[in-house]
Amino acid sequence: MKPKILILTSLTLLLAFATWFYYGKIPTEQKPKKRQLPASFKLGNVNQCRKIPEFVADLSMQQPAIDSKQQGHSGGLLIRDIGQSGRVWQHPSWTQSGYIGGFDRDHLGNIYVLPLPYVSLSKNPPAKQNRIYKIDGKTAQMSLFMELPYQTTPSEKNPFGTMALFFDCDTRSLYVSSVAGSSATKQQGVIYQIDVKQKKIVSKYPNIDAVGLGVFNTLKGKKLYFGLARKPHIYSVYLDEQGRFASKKYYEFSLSQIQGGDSTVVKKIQFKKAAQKFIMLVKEMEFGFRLLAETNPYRKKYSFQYQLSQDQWQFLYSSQD
Amino acid sequence: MAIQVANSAIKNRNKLLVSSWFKPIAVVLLFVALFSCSESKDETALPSNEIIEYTGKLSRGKGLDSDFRSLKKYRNEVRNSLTLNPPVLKMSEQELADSNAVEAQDIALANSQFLRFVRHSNTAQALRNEIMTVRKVLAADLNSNTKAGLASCQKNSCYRVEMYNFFYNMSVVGFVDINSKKVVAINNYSDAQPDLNQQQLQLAIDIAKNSELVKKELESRGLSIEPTMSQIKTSLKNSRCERSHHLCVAPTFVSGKQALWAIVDLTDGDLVGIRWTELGESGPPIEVTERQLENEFVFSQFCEQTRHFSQGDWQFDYQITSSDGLEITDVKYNNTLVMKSAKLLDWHVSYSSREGFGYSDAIGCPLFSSAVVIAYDGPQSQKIIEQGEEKGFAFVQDFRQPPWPTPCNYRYEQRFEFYHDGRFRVAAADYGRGCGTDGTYRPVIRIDLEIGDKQVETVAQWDGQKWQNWQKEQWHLQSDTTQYSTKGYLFKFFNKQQQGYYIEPNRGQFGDGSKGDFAYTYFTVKHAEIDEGANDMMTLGFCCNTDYQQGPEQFMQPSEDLQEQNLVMWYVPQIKNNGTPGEEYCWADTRVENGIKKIKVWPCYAGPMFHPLAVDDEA
Repeated sequence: MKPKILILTSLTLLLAFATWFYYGKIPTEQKPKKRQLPASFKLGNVNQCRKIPEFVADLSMQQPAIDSKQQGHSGGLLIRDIGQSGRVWQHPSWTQSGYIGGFDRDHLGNIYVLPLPYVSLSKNPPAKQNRIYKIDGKTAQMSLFMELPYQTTPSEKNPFGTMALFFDCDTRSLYVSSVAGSSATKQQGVIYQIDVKQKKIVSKYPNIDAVGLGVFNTLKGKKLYFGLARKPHIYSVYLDEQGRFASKKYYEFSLSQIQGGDSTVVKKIQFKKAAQKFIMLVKEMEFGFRLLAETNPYRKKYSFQYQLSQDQWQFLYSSQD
Repeated sequence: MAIQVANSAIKNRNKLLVSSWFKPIAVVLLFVALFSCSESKDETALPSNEIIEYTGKLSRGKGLDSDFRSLKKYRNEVRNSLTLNPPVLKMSEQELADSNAVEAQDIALANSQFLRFVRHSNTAQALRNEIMTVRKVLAADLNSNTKAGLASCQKNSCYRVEMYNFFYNMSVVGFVDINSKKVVAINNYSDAQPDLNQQQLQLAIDIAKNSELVKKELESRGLSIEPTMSQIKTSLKNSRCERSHHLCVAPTFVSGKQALWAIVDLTDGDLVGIRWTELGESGPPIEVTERQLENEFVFSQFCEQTRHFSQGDWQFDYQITSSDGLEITDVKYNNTLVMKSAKLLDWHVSYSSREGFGYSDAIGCPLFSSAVVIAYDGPQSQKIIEQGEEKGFAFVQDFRQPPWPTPCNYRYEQRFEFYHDGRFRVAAADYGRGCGTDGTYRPVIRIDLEIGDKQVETVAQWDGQKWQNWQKEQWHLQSDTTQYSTKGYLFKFFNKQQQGYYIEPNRGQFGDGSKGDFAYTYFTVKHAEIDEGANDMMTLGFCCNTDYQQGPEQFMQPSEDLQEQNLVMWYVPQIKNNGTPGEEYCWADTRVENGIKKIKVWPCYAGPMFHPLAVDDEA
C-alpha cells in the first residue's frame, strides 16, 4: 500500500510540475486550450471608431483622401481630393516627419504618422526615425507624439525605426512596430502597445522585426497580425482584454506560398467588411533594410477572406497595388 | 521470425507492467503529452533571431556547359517554334495522356483569344510560348471566373490547357470542351508561373547537373553527381526569379540533413545560383529565390568584408559600401601607392521641366544600407582591348533598382580602368531610364590621389600657355572654352619630386560613346581630424542644383590654402540624357530577342583619365 501512496504523490507532483513547466512559458495567457473571443469584443473588424479629422471639412474638397504614397513631391502626408479638382493640401508642420511610412486614425480623428526613409536620409536622419508623430484632428498641427526607445544607436546600416501602426478601437490601443537597432545578425525589433490617452507604452512584444500590423477579432480571440521584415510570412499573436500581448507567435501564412505570390514582405494589413464577409487586404513591398524608393509596376496586393468555421484566412486573389 | 517472437515477448512484458500500478502513470503522461501536442500543433517555433544565411553563391553566365544534349535540342525546338504560326511550342503526343488531350491542345491553339498574347502587341514579333499542361479539368479549377464556362462540361469532357508566355512572364489557361470542340473559358495570369511539363522538368535537372558550381559544391562535400547519384536524392522545389521575371525552378539535391538548392532559369537556360538549406524543420516554408540569393551573396561577400584584388602590376582592396558605391582603396601600381581611395557618393538626377524635382540616388549594398540603387552581384574584371591588343583591365560594378528599366527606375555602373602603362581612369555610367527625357545626371566622385610618402601635393591647371598652380581650394567647370594642353590634359597633380599625374577630362575621346563630361572639378584639403567624405556619407548635396553646389563645395568654406597639403579631388560630370530614337543616351529600352525580353542599353560614360608624369614630359 505504501509504495502506491508514494507513487500517487509523485504523480501529483509530476503533474503539477508539467503544468507549471508548460504554462510557465506563457505567463500572461489563461487556459489557452479553450480560447474564445471575450464577450466584450465583437467578432470582426476593430476599426469602426476611426473618425474623419475635423480639419478636413474646412478644406472644401469633394472627396478628400489621405495620400501617403509620396509620388511626385518631396515627401510627407498629403490630403488629396480624388474628385474632379485633384487638389492637394499639406499643413506646413507636416514636413517635419520627412518621408513617411504608415499612418492611422483614432476615435477622435487624430492621425498618427510614422517617418520612413525613402529617397535619401537628408530628410529622414536615422536618429529621428524611431518616432510617432501626431496630427491633431482639429487643428491639423503635427507634433512629436512619442519617441520610442532605441536598442542600439541608429546608423546608415539600418536607418529604420518605426515601421507600421494600427489603432484598435476596442482597447483604444495603438500598436506600433519598430526595427530600430536590428542588424543582419540581430533581430531587435519590438511591437509596442501604446495607450494613446496616457501616451504610455502598456506592453511590448520583443525580438521581432515586423513591418506590417493589423488587429482583428477572430472566433478564438483578439489577434494582432504582423508581417515579418525578413520573410514573406504573416504571424499572429493573441491579445487579452486589455489589448496586451498574451501568447507566443503563430505562423499564419506566407505570400510565397500562394498563387501569384512573391518573396516580398507584408508592409500593410487592412481589414474590411464586404457583403457580410470579412476581408483581409495585404500589401507587399521589397524590403532589405535599405531605402525604399522605386516605382514598381509589379507590386501587388492580396485579398483573403475569413473562414469562420475554420478560423482561418482563405486566399481569394491578388491584384496590382 | 525470431525477431518477431522477441518483439512479441517484449510487448507482453510491457503489457504486464502497464496492467499493474504503472497504469496511472501512463495515463497521466499520455494526458500531459496529448494536452501539450494539441496546443502546440499550430504554433511554429522560429529561431529567436532570424539572421541572414550566407551559404548562397551566384552563377548566372558562369560555368554552364551549354552543349549538353537536352538543352541543345530544346533550344532548337524553341527556335523552330518562333517561325510557326501560331508561334507556340506544343507538347508532343507522347507527352500527352490521351487523344482527347491532343485534340484539346489543337482546339486551344486555334482559338484567337487563347493566342491573344503570342505576338508582341506593337511589333507583331513572334514571342516564345510553350504549352505546359493539358489535363482533365479538376474540381480545383472551378472558380468564379471559370464557373459559367465549365457548367457545360460533362464528365471528363473538359480539358485544361495551360500555355506559358516567356516574354510577358504570363500564364494563359484555356478550358476546352471536347464534346463541343470549343474553348469555354480563358484566364490570363500575369507574372505567374505555370506547372512545368516533363521536358522542362528534365531540362531543369539537366541544367543543374551540368553546371560547374553544382558539381563543385557537391564534390566539396564528398558527393558525386554522377553516374547514378545514388547518394543524393533529387527533387524539384518551387522557386522564382523576381528580378528577371523569368521562369525559374529549383532542383534540390538532398544529402543527409541538408539540401542543395540549385535555382535554374528556364527562360535563359542557365543556373542562377545555389544555396544549402537545412532539412527537417517544421514550420514556415523554406524557399530560395533569385532575389534572396543575390542579396545574401552580395551582402556577405562584398559588403561585410574587404577583399583584395591583384592583376598585372596593379593591386587594391575593395568593398561595396552602404551608400557610396564600390570603394577601392590603397591602389598600388608596381607596389607604389597611387590612390588612397576612389568612390561615388551620390548620383544627383534633376529634370529640367520640373524645377527642384529629382533624386539623390545613393548606390550600395542590397541589405542593411542607405542605398536606393543596389548591387545584384559583385564586381567583375574585364579585359581592355584596343586595336586587338590587351592594354589593361577594367574593374566594373553594376547597381540597379529592381524594377529597372521601367520608368523612374535607375541603373548605374562604376568602372575603374587600369592600364599596363600606369594610366588609370575613374569612371561611371548611367544606363537610364529615369523619369523622362529631360534628365541630367551628376555623379559625385571622390578621388583621393596619393603621391609619395610625404602626402604633400600640388595641383596646377593648364591656362593655354603653361601650368598655373592653384593656391586655394576652388572649383572649375569644364566648358567649351576650357583650355587643354596639347595632349588634352587639364590638370597636373604632383609633388616636389615632380611625381604625379596629368588629369585628362573626358571630352568623348575615350572611345566609349561618351559625349563629354562638362564636369565640375574641386580640389580640397584632406583633414585627418575632420571627416570630409572619407567615411561613408549618407548623402551629399541637393539633387537638383544645376550649378557648382553639388556637395563638395561645403568642404571648402572657407576656402583654405592648398600649399603643403594632402589634397582630395572631387569630380562631378554633368550628363544630359536623350530618349529620342536613334539618339539614345543614358537610356534603356525593352526589345524582343528570340521571343523573350532583352534590355537594350545606351550607357553614358563619364570620368577622367590619369596619366603618370614623366620627367621629360611635354604635356
